[in-house]
Amino acid sequence: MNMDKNMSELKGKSYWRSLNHLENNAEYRKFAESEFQEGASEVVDPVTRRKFLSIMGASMALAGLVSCRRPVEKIIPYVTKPEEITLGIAKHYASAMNLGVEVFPLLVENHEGRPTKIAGNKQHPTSNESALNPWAYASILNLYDPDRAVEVSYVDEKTTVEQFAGVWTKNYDAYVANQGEGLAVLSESFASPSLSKIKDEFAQTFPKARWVAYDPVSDENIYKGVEIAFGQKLRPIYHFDKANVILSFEADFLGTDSNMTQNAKGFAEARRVKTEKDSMNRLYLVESSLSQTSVMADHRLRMSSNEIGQFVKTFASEFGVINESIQYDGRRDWVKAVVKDLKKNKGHSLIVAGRQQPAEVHVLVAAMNLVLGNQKTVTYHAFDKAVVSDSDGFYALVSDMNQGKIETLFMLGGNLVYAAPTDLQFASALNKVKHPIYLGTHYNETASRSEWHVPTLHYLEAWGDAISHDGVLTVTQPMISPLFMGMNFLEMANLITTGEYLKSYELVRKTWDSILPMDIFESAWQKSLHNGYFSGTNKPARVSVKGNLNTFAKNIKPLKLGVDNLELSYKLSPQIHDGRYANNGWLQELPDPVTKITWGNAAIISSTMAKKLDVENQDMVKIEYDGIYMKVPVWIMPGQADYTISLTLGYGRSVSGRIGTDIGFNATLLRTTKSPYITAGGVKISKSYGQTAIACVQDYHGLDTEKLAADAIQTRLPALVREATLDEYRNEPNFTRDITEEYPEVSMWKEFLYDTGNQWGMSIDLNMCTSCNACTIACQSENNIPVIGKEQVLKGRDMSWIRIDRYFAGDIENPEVVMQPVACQHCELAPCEQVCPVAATTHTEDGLNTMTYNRCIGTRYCSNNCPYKVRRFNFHNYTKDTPDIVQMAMNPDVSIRFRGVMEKCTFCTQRIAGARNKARLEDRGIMDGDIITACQEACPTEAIVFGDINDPKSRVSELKKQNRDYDLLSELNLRPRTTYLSKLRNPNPELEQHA
Amino acid sequence: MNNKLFKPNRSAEESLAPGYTFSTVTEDISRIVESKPPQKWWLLFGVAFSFLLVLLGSVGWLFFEGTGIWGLNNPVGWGWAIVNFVFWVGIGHAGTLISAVLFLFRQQWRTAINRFAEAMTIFAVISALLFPTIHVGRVWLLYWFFPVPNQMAMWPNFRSPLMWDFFAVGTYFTVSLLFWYVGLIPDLATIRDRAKTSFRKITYGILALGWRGGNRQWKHYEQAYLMLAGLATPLVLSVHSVVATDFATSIIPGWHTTIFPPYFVAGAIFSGFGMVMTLTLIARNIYHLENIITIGHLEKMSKVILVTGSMVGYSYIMEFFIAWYSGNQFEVFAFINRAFGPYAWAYWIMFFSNVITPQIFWVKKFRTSIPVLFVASIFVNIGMWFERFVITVISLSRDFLPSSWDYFTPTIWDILVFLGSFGLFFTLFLLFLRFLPMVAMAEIKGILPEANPHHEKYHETH
Amino acid sequence: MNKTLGLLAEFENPATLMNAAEKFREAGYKTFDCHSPFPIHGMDEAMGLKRSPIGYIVGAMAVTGAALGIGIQYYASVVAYPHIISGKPFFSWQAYVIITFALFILLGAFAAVIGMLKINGLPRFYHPVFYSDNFKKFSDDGFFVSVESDDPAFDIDKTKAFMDSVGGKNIEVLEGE
Repeated sequence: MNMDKNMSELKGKSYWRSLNHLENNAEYRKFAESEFQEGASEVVDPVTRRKFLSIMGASMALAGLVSCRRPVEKIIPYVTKPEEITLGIAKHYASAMNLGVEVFPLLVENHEGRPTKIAGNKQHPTSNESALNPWAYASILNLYDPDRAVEVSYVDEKTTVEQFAGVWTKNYDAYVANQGEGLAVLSESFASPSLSKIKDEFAQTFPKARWVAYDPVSDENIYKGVEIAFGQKLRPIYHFDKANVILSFEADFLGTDSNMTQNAKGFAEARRVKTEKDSMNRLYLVESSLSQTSVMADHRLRMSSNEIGQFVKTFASEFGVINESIQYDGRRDWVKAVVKDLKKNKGHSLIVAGRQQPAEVHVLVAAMNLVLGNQKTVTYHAFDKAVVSDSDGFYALVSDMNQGKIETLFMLGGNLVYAAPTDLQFASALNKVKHPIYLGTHYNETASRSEWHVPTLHYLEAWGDAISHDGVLTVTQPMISPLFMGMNFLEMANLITTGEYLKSYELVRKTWDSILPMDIFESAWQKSLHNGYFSGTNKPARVSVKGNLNTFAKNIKPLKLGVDNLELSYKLSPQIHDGRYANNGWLQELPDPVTKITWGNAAIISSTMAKKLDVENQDMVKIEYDGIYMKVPVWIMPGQADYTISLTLGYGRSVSGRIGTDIGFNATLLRTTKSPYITAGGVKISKSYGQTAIACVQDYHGLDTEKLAADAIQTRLPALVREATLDEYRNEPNFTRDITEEYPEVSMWKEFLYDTGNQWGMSIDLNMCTSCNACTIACQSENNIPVIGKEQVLKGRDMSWIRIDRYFAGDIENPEVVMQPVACQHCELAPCEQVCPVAATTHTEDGLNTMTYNRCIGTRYCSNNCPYKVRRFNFHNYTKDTPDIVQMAMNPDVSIRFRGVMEKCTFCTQRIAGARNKARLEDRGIMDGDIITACQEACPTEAIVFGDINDPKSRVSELKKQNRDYDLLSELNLRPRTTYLSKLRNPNPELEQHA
Repeated sequence: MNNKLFKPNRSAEESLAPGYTFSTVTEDISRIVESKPPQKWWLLFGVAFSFLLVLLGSVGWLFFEGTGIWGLNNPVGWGWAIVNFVFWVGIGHAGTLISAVLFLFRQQWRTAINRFAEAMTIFAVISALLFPTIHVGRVWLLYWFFPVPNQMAMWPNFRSPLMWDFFAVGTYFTVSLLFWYVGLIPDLATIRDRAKTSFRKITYGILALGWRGGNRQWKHYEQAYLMLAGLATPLVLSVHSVVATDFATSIIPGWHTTIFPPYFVAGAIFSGFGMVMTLTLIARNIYHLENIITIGHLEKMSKVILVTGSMVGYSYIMEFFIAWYSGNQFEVFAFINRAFGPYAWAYWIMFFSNVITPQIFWVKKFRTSIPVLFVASIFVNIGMWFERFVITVISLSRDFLPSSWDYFTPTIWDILVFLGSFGLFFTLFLLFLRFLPMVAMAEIKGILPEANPHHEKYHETH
Repeated sequence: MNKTLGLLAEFENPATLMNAAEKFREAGYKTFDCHSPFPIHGMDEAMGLKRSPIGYIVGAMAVTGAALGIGIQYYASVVAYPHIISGKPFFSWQAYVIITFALFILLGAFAAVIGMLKINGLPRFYHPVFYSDNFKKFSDDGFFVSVESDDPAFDIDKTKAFMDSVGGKNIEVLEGE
């Protein structure tokens, strides 16, 4: 992976040096291996850590040299070609990825036995979409992470999985004898039949032992709330497609919340508008900090997280869920109007609350949904073969650890030394455990404090299974045999429980034996492997309110925040999750959907607060809570509640790979068990000295710039991102085109008519885009876009081919946010082409603006003359230091660009060519839907549609016929092939005057 | 026709201090080339040469590491490199104007300064050509510009203004060089004939091509010189107009304006005379040429500066008017942003130096005061560099979509390469002063009163 | 052994030189030449020389250059390497004007210089007049008339006398191999 200059100076180069040695020098290899442990032991010291990493990288590369492998034990060159593989033709296999209890059914693209790209499995009944969220897309890169742990380590020596297994089997019987006294397993939450089966066996074998699941960030509060309300352990699943009116209390259901893709898909269904006659849903949003979901909000109310509880109670009493009458001095009119709207849509409304809100809030929300008869919009499912996070259990375990009650602790995944709430002092608790055994992908904070560290296999390297909320079974098939030594969760769990080391394949088979019908097992199994799933059902539970809600409601106390009594809210990073993806370059460089910050985090504060503190962006501040303090740069955001400071988790990793180490600031340091998501006030902030550069890919968003520019943006915005309310649209259906006057098209010469054959074009529906960033990551994966590092991003050289422009409209306190994905528009009269002196960028007859990399000499004139600024230049040789192993992630259908070359979106020309060849072989024309661009494939809301505009029946032509269709910068008359559908909002007429 | 060339007239007196004879002209000018250079020369040469080394060093690093070492970013694809290119090309124009246009207009005062004005042109164009060469991403493929048949069967795109540039500036350089050399031939002969050492005899002998000053040669010589002047004259107008099209034919607000070609030409001559002024004053000071380069010359040059400076000022104001008149919001913003945006400082430096400074030349006292002239000429040079910066960088940094706006900050390498180009320019210029006659002796003699066969004093003798 | 190549006479100023030139012409000398540090106007008439043809050469070459320019551009963008560029026609003549013009000038300039050198027979590092040391003055402040032995009217004694009669000084015989 490519890092900023210093880093490559520091590591990449040394890495190469060692590689050259390693290739031809066995002695050096021995040396490197002997060094390895030494480096590992001194890992706390950054300098030696670097040495350690560089050498580690080297050994990695050594493995990388043994490049492409099919899932067989031996490496066989294609002297005699295996019949199922045709060189150059990708094969697709079904698999799945688990993230907590979430399941991502996948379709994995394989090139010569080397997985290069993943997408959603359209056939899967639960998701039935090709879209995924950025985490899932980027997970392919984790497989080829050069900083993955490569070998089992025992304190200071390196050993093997077999040796580890041997050691455990020795102690195993002892633990069986004492029924598992002093034995504990600490895993992440999961939804896997096999794993939960093993967990049950574990409980039988070791009655006195304990298996606790814990995630640093989870939906626990939601589950708790539901349990209190309905008296059953249930998991709510939202069906936004059936909801006309949605009220969200800080739920980021289109962002970092669970099931984002399904939520977005459903939400889009209910919002999509084809003509002015269609109806669309309405979203009321109450939140403290501008979230990704707010892009879609029709009404947004800015409110600090702690006030929201009280606000929910007002609603609850309005609905008669609680009979306490609330003294609410806020926006009564708002409440009245929203309640009226919800009642009007009984059964077709939905109330959701964010995972950070306390259980009590979720109790009321669940009850209100019941009162509103929203059985269709939210269904509750039992946790079938799923184990969810249990913080209380975890806290209890830690206190036992402190008391020395735990002798052997297995940590299956996670990185709790880094991620556990600070007041737990998990690290010191861990020291009191005799045998801490860690199963993890990287040598990280936890591994460095464990006796044993066993590397985890990537999910594409071993077998596994998963079960989704509706009971559909999903298989995780390996795509490649393990690149390095390691075990996967099943193997480890099984080893712990049974004392024998079985391969994941056998374990999964064993579980499925009991599930699949006996008589036709083989065929059923084969079918499941082919489709990636085996249908099952988990019917929604029938629910009714149990117990007296008033008592719980009482626990929600109004709280007065103030300048020196602030609240701090912790958010999951939309990029690197809870820190688990810190070493993933794609995700580090992915801009935050709303703040547009890459490579790090910052304390988000409101402009009012900034004025009070007299700070501006990037200034360091000191945040104090509970006697602990941290220093972090600030970033001013509109729509931020004045007394709320928001921090994203996952940054500031001290022991990670060469990419993830020391990026951003560790918010966990302030995070306590008392308030893991939102502090109940008690936070102080003060200006500190100095600044920290923040790599934001979209400066000058009209806030951090002078009035001149701010005004210019506001005058341009109406024409750039065309927007209207649903009513306005109905009154004047052609508002989109009327925004700019039509200019007569007079030409000095006869222009080329693109009127024959296929003519490629794209339509992007701004009313659908939730700015989830999936398209950006999918494009990066498909088109081998380099990662350039923070320093380069700071210089303003980000490489993303499809970026999402973010603008704010309206008042700064509570603005409307609009998003606009912009890639190359493939103008028919492309201004970039005429200025290239060497004809490196030209037009094809099917209307593609093509870039001939080999011909480009890099005058950068084309980029200057591109009004959309979508061209990206290789200012340095960004791919020079790419380790061989990372090169395995590259798409062989797309060439790697060299220094000094301009690059840009190609409409996935490789996919067009592929489809054309296929069609030719089948002796037919290319049909609509044959070509799906990477971004289109990734879009959960189907906002992006690509196709042949010369075919009047193609989807894209249909969309372009809509009256909301418009060209970006139409006054330039460039005839872009990408056109946009204008954005609509559906505000409640009764609230108009306040909106 | 050629009996009109070099016709002595009133301007003979004001273009040369009285009392010069053919041999004193020869003596005064040849001496410089034949004697050891003075202290000051060595001093300046030392400085210039070390800057040249800086240039070589930083360009080496540039080739090794790529254009990323500069401050360029996504909206601002062209930075100092292009600014410097336009700056240097502009400077060249004064030389051509003096040698070609003033020649055709029989401005005899030009003879004192045309030789090194031309030299300046050539060295300026060399410094200019450096930048388009090194600013491309893949320097080693630059030859793909040339429209020659190649194994790839590929041809360049003649619609690109960069291609026009390549031809226009290339032609400009070649023609200037030929013009300069042709002018040098008779003077080289002089040096040859005065040469003491055989080395000088041979070198200058070869360079002089065996010139015999026979009238049968002079006839064709003058005709050819006239032709060259005629061919070079349109270049004065065309070359910078073509450079202007690099910007004018694009669609970027602040670039896409039809006023650019004339405006660039005026600016070029303005900056060129600024630089000629600077150099003249330096050369005059080093070699005590007060009698050959008289105050009269300097005053004339300052008048040209005043005129062209005012034209430039007019363009600045016109741009604003047109932007407002166009009613195009992007256009309007581009110009307001120049004057009041984050780069306002650059804009006002430019405005002050280019519009206010030359106005002092309405006053004869300033037109004839050496220190004032020198300072003013420096201001003109600075101002014109900033004009190009304002046009290139500010326009790019904020174009159509606010999302891609960004601020350009130069790196140390931007600065070093720029300073280095001065090293290149002055090294070449000082070498010229040292080894070639810096004033066209033959022409000077041609305008001496004695040069006229019908001069009264000859008739007395009859 | 040295043979006579011609005669050289010095004159003290442009006026005398000019009047000598007329005399020589009248005396029927054809290839004689008048050397001066700078071109003396009216000398052509005095010597009876015809107008220089260089103008025509330049014109012809310049036009060739222009034709070449438009030709290359047409061939490249229509015949050899046609590409759709910004939807413009292959033969975008408006865009080809500048390069055509540039080549017009370029070839013209070369024609002027090369033409001039060719006609003047330059470079020529050997010439009878160079046998005279006194001749060196021509590039400083000397005015000379040279008559070469191949001139039909050349006769060493008569010509010497004639030179003397028209006011020639330091008359010397140019001798060399």
